[in-house]
Amino acid sequence: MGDITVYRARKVITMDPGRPFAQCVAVRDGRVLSTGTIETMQPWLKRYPYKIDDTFADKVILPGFIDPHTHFAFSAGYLAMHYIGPIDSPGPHGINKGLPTRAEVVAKLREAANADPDPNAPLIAWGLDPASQGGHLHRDELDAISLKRPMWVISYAPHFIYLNSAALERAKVPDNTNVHGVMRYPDGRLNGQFVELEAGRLALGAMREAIAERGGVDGLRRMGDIARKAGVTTTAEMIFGKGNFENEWALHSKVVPDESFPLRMGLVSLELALHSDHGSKGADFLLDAMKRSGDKLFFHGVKFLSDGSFPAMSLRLNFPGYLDGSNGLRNDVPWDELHERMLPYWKAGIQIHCHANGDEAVDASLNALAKLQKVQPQFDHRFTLEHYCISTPDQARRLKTLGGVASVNNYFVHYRSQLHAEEGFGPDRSEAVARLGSLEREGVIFALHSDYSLVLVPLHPLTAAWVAVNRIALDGKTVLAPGERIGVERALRAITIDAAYVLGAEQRLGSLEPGKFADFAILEADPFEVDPVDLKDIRIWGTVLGGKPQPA
Amino acid sequence: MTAGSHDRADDIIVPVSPAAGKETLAMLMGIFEAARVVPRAVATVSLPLTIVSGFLGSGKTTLVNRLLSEPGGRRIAVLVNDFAAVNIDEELIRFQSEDTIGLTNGCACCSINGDLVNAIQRLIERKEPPDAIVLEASGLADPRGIAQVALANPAIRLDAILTLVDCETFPERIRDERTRPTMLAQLSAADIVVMSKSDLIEDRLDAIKGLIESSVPGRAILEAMHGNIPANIVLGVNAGPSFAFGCSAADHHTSFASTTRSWSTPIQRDVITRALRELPQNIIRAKGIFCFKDDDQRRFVYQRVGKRESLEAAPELSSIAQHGSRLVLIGFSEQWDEAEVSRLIP
Repeated sequence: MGDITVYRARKVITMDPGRPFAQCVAVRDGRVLSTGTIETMQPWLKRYPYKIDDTFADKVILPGFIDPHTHFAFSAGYLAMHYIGPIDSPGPHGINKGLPTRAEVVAKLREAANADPDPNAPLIAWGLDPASQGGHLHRDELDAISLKRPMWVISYAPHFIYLNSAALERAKVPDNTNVHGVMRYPDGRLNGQFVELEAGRLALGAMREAIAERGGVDGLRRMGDIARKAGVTTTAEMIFGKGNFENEWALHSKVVPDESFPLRMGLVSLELALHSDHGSKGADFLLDAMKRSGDKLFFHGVKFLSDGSFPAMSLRLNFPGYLDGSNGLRNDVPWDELHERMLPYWKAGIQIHCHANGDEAVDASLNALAKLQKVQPQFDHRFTLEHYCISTPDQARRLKTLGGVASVNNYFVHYRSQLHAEEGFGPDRSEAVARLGSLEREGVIFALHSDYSLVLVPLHPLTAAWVAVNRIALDGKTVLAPGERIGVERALRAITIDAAYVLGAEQRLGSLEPGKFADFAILEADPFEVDPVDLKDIRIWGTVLGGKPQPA
Repeated sequence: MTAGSHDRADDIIVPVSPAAGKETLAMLMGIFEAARVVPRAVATVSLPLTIVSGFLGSGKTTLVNRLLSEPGGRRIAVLVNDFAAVNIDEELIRFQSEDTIGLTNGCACCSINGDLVNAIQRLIERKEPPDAIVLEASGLADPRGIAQVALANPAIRLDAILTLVDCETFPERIRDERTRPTMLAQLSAADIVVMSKSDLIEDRLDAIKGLIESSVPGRAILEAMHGNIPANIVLGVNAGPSFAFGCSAADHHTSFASTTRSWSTPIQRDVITRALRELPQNIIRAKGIFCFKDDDQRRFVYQRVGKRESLEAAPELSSIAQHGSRLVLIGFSEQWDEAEVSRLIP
């Protein structure tokens, strides 16, 4: 065994309710050895060599935050994308506002170009309507916005693509190209416009390559940096193996276990992909894959989907449905077959995570769980409803009765409730998005997550906690469904120990107790002392992962 | 090859509609998925993709069934892309096999085009990949977006977009403001327009052909009864390993004529490319493998569908006789002008 390091702090918050606070935390071999004071640790310190580290002497140590539902490997493309169309249009991040004039289009492009600190990051904008927004864009006009950052602009219907000089360079279009649809200025210079399929392939092929470069190894590392800045030390990829299981494993196993990567990651495999690759043997395959798990990268659970998205307004609702009389999408496994597809995993003891955004989908998912309980009753199965955006108090009670847990995207309370009162779900359901108070009253264990970056909310657990405690709307003053607020302690549990529970990792992660990994979030202020409306503004120094400091 | 008229999409003013925006978004999602899934290694295969497009009820499934029942010795994988709540079209395909793959719906975060990317990649990675892929597009889709997603895989070569037109309902739908944008988008994307159910409107055939020509000028237009078109027209000249020139489309169907040319010594590049450019409009399909005098260590593949053409260096040396060149042309028999073809390419 190695030497002991004792981190002295202004305060240590252990998230162990029996011994909630301490002055120091001692670490040995990457794990927590003891919490308390230098005095209480003496039985250890007088027996073994130790050093005292005062890096965090004026800071607050918490267990590292856990965001149990993200999509880092997808994120490169989503992060690069911006909407510039003339009319309001739903996107994966929610409703995009229309930009009626050319001046607004250019301003939006300029804003997006300036927003990303990396000057070489690709920028992809879509939705230009040349007929109503001042005609076709062209290379020189785009170069005036950014000469260095490669930019691709796609028209509203998928017909025209416009590139600036940096993107043209990426596309490697020779000046004398004879590809049909590559357009030129009158003097013969390429004007950055690509029309028709073969030309489009050249332009979009270069875009795909740029995205692939941003994704992959570099992209995952970049996501690790974003997470570290937010105090996160563990996350879970909630759609693993959608493309190619082994390729995705190769990528993650190259990046995550490396000592320089500041994050642990669970991989939750998509059942749809397991089913298409292995048919009825999906659970066997997954059990076998779990043998590859290590301390930093581990397989955990299986993912099902029952409906669509909250911000894109494709979730499924019970009566009275959407404001316009429509309803959302069911997902690919028919609801009456859901329990049959889940059964092999249930029997194998593999935790089931089921995406359910709307109350009709929550019903369908709970029905599936009820059928599983009938076939083979189980305690401690941790069937998890993922997102749990629109629900009712009785559903929280039924979830508790059936033994399930929830992983909730509650950022939407702040970022989207008021928008969807007017558009989509109506005032009642929009106000009561993410009913954490109901879950707490019924005794359901729940975590908070960001879904980063499939939806446009930050990856920032303290913001999730702030939303949970305050439920302040986008207008900065309205408190939405006050009875669904929870206290600070419960909110912190939902981003630490209870999030670990949802990932089946509460014996290793989520609190500072002897034997657990020494993963810390290092804060500049005490979340129990600050005014709860300032929770999200607490500065984050960085993290400690396995006893090793990771400054942001 | 020279580029033709660039601005043809500009000729048609299509109003901005939520449906078109959704397609563009779906295309982007598909390309993002391709960035993640498709290996960056240089493609070693070149798998031809034919997209069968056309409004709801235009006969796409009938046509796909015909192809599957007589594929001309080719292994064809069919992808069915249907935006309905259930994959109805997939169920209607009679010749269900493991090579018919329904693309699932997905929610916004895992789009149908992401599914397409994965389905194509899985086909390519098979031990025995198919000889061709036929994608039956959704009846409401603009096939351009789907094509761009498929082309995000460097191993895919777009063979052709066929757009089917239901002769019975076309005149009404092309005038109806609700269906016109979709019809125009599908027609303007087409290399070949197929008039289906033409047997039902015998007397108005020319009028409808005129309506198509005035909506989207310059497309090759075929008539089909009961999905009756030879595979060589839909899928192109058989490009299997043996490059079967012997099989002429005229053997199958009297509506089409074909001719073959072969040369045993290297040919003059500019002479043949000029001749190909001047070929009459009624040549719907052409394929050639050429050995040019100025570059006789490589072979060049020529493809023509409708008025779209390409000439590219073959990725590997073909198995045909050393320094030989071959060309096959397929066109409408009733407009076939053998004298003109022989004058251009003796």
